[in-house]
Amino acid sequence: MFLTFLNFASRQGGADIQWKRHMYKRIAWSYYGRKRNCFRLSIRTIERALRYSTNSGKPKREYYNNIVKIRLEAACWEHGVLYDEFLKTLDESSIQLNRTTLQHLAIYEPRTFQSLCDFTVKRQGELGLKAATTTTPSGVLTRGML
Amino acid sequence: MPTYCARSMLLKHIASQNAFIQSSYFTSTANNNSPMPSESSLDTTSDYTVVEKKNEGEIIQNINTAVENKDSRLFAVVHICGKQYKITTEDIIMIKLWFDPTIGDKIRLEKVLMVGGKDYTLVGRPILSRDSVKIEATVVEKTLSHYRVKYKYRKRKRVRRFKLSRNIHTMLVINSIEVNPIKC
Repeated sequence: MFLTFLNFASRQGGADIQWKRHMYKRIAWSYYGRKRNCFRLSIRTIERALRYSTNSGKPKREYYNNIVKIRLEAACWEHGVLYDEFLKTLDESSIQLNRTTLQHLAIYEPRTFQSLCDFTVKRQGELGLKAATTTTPSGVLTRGML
Repeated sequence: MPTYCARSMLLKHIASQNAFIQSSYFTSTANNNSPMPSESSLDTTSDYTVVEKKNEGEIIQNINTAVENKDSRLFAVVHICGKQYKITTEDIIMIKLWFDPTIGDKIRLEKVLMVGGKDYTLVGRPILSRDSVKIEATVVEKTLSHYRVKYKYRKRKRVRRFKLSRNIHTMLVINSIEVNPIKC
């Protein structure tokens, strides 16, 4: 029987197809049901999972930065400073501590953070940023202009 | 042959005029007979009197006594490779970026933003000087991170890109933090 044609035409002879699928099997070891064992079913779930993990970098950073902002704001209010003014006065007096370290200090080094807040309050008083909120001294007529 | 620039000639003319004007100004105010200027109350009395003096010296003295006692554990805020780390002695930091020193190197950390103990903190604007703080560390380990997957996919367009990457991590152990007393 003539078999050489069939030999050339067959797909056997290359490497085992499971070698390409070995990595995906390792990724899907914890999935439920046939998604764990069957390649065609698991590849759909795996591709979605990998896609989501690559695209989650930016929202993850935004999420944690928001948490830091909330903590810093609350810590500033405890000491009678506004968040924006606090950061602005620190920046103007060339104290270049970033927000993650500031919120860490507020949690774990409360005295240091209090001294920073007191410094900002005093500095704002010197510069006159709080002039709008302070009361006018007695015996002065402003006619609503100040 | 020298070229006579109109501008330079004009400037010389003005300068000569100014010299004449200045000399005349000074000579007119003083008496021609006496060489020294006459004394007035503006010169003898002081411009200011101190109403309230700040007690800076007291604060600095307290800080220096606390520094010399060395009772409390010190913390520091340090800037390495664009990130800020809050560290104490016996700490291990992981730097997730390229860091030149090799394993076993002893390092002095230069960019110290803040140092503090139980009763005092020194805040740098923006960095504390080398005379006031000394932080020493050793590089302990240099490894690669876990495999991070970058998978780009576009639906119905047969676009699939799969990439694995690993970053270099270096571990630093903080050996000591030393603070020197403040000099006025």
